[in-house]
Amino acid sequence: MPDVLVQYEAEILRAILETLYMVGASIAAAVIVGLPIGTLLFMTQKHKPLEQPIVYHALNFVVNVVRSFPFLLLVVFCIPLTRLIVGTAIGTTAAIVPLAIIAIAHYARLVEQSLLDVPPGIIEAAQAMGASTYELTTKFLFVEARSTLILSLTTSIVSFISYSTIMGVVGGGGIGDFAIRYGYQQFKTDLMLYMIIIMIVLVQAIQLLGTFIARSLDKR
Amino acid sequence: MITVAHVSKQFASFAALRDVSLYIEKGAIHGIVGASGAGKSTLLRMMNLLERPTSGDVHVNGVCLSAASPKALREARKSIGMIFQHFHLVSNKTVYDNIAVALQLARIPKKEHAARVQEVLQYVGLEAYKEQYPATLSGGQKQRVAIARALVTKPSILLCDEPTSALDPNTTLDILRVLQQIHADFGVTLVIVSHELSVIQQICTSATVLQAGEIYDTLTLVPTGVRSGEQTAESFVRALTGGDAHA
Repeated sequence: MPDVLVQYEAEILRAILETLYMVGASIAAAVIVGLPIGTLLFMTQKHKPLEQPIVYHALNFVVNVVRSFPFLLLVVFCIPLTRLIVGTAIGTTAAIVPLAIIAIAHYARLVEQSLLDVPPGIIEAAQAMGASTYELTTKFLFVEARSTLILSLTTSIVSFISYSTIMGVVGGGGIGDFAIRYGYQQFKTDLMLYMIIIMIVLVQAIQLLGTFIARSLDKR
Repeated sequence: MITVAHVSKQFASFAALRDVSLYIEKGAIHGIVGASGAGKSTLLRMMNLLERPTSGDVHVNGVCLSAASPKALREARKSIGMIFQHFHLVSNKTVYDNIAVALQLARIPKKEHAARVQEVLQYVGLEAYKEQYPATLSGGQKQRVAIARALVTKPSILLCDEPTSALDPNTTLDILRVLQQIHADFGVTLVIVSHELSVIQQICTSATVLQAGEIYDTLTLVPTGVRSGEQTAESFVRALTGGDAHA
C-alpha cells in the first residue's frame, strides 16, 4: 500500500464510514419516505386511481422546488431546520437532514416515472378483481415495476454519494471532505487521487449490484 | 343479471354512450358489437364500473354499482370476472401467482390456494406452465391464464373485452370454445365485446348492436356453436392459412 495511505489509514477509514453513514441514511429516507411520495405523485395524477389535482400539483411543486436548489445552497438553507431536528447544524448526523430531503425528492420523482412505465391495463385488471388501492400498489404496481424501481434507486444512490462529498461545509466529513482538506488543501495530490479512486470503486460496485439485482428480478 | 338503465357517458366533449338501457339475463351469452368508437368497451366497462356513468344506473346481481360505496363496489367486483384484449397479466408474477393473487384479493384462505389454482389451470389446460412467466407464453396461452385468473374466484359473470382480437383465427376459435365450455359447465353469464361479427355469431344467444353511442338494434341469436366448416371465421381461417384449417 502507498505510504500516504498507511499514514492516514485511520482518517481514511473514518471518512469512508462517514460517507457510508450519510449515504445509508439517504437511502433509508429515499425508500421510507420517497417511495410513498413518488407513489402518491403517480396515483394522484390525471386518470390515475386516486386522481387529486390539488394534491398532485402541490407535491409536484414541492419536489421540483427541492430539486431546483443548487445542493450547496440547500444545505445552508436547511441549517435552521437541521438545528431544530438534530439540535446542532454541524457534524455528520446534522448533514443527514439536507441529504435526506434531496434524497426523498430525487427518488420520489424516479418512482413516479417507474410507475408510469407499468402498462395501465394492469391497474384495470387489478381493479376489476376488486383490489383496494393499497393492494393495487403492493401486489401489482410495485411487482411490475420492481426492476425499474431498483434501477432508479441505484441511480439515486450514485447521486447521494456525489451529494455527500460536499457535506464538509457543515462538518459532515466523508471521503469528499477528506480529499479536499488533506488532498487538495495540503497539496497531497496523490492522496486526492486515491480518494477519487475509492469513490469510483464504490460507484461501480453499486451500479453493478443494482443492475444485477434489477436484471434478475425482471421477468417482463 | 345485469341491468343498465339510461346510461350516458360523456368524455370531455365526446358522448361515448347516450341513454343506453340494456338487460342481460342470468346465463346469457350476450354480445356487444359495433364499429370502433361506437362505445362497446365503454358499455362493458360500466358493468363492473371500471367506467363510471355520467348519468344512469348499473345494477349487477341486485347491487346498484353506480351508487355503491368503494368497499361495496370492490366486494361486487369479486363476483364479476373480466378478461381483456391484451390479457393484462402481471409479467413479473408466475402463472401460478397471477392466478393466486385473485384468491388473495377475494380473501380466500391461503391453504386453499394451491388446490384451486391447480383446478383452474387444469381446466384451461395449462397445469404444466404453473411456474413459468407470461413472457414465455403464446397469446392464446396468456388469454387462458387470464381466463383461469377470472374463473378462480367462481364469478357469476364474466366480462370479455375483445377477448380474441389480439389472437390469430385458430386461437380465436380455441378461446371461444373455452368460453363456451365455461358457460356450459358453470352457468356463468358471459358478456362479450367484439368488433368481429363472426365471434358474436358463433357463441352469443343475444346481442346489442351499438352505433355512435346508441343502441342500434338488439338481436336474439341462435348460436351456431364454435365449429369448423361453414362459418365466416372459418373462411377467414382458410384465407389466412391457405386452406389448411382444422379447428
